Amino acid sequence: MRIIGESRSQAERKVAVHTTDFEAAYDRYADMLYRIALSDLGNTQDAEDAVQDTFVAYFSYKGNFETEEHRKAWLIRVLINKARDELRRKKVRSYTSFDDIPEIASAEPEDRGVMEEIQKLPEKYKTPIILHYLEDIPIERIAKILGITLSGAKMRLKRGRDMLREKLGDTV
Amino acid sequence: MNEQFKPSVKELYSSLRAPESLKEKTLAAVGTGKTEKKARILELNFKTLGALAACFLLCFGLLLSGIFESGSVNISLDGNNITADAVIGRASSVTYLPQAAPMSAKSADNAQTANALKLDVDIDGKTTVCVEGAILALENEQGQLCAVSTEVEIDGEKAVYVLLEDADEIKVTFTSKKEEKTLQITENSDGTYSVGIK
Repeated sequence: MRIIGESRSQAERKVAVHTTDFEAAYDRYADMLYRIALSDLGNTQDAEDAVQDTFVAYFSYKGNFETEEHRKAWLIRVLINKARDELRRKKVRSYTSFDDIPEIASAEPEDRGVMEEIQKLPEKYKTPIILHYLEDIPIERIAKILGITLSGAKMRLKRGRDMLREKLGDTV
Repeated sequence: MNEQFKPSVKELYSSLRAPESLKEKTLAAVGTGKTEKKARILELNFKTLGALAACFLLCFGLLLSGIFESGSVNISLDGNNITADAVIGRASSVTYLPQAAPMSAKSADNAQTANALKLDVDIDGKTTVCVEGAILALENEQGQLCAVSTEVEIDGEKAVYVLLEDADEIKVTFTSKKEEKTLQITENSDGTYSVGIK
């Protein structure tokens, strides 16, 4: 007898692989995405929503990732888009006080001050600063993630840096 | 581009972690397609709808209880006091009807038969409100349903009236003129009623 299509066990194995893959990706990138979202949105609730929406999109994604870097960049790009959508949607933004984030509340005042100034940067400059200086993502990849030119990414980094230096002096 | 934040700043940033509970919520969300945000928006919508419904019911309740207007309509006609608690507004020109049976309305020049099916109420002399099923709204002091109204044409003019049980007079409001006249009501041998201008 000829069996047409996949057997049930084959299909189940595929789903299992996909779920395992999903959990692995979550474990690997959730914290990074949460940090970026929290920096972008300034609100823990919105950051959680953005991360959740991003992974829901990832689960539904039908394409393939050539490399792990490609997967990471895809996740960051989707997250940033989700965050932008949220920022556009909300007319009044609410911020979670740094006092309510235990890691920051207990930090050295100087380090906390840097975090606060990064938070205050315009989104245009904040995202490249976070991705490059805090997430160690190369500028070329940041340019691709943000859909801008390499020189544009460099310019935003420079301006962001200048703004921070103006506020913080040499403490950066 | 070789500049860096102080290591302690990077450490602080890296110490930020997604809440443990988020993983479970996310796994549940991909399984069901329902994210926390969607649930909150849905809840908010339900709350908004609930609040609107509550407001509507409150307003409706206030309206019925007569807070907006004097809801209690007392009509005194030949000693018959009729209360119409559910009538909105002050019915300044409510007339009366003995019973909800088909009846004839007669005047010197015009007569016609009408079925008593609705209540027309003139609120503050400005508006005539027609309330279907108003028989439910009018009852006498003993709680008996005793009044209903209809629209008739008398002397070429449209008029509304309500007849009260056990009464022999009827007040008619001419809707076009906002004019009120008192009619005489007499019971016919066949069980119908005749109404004539007094």
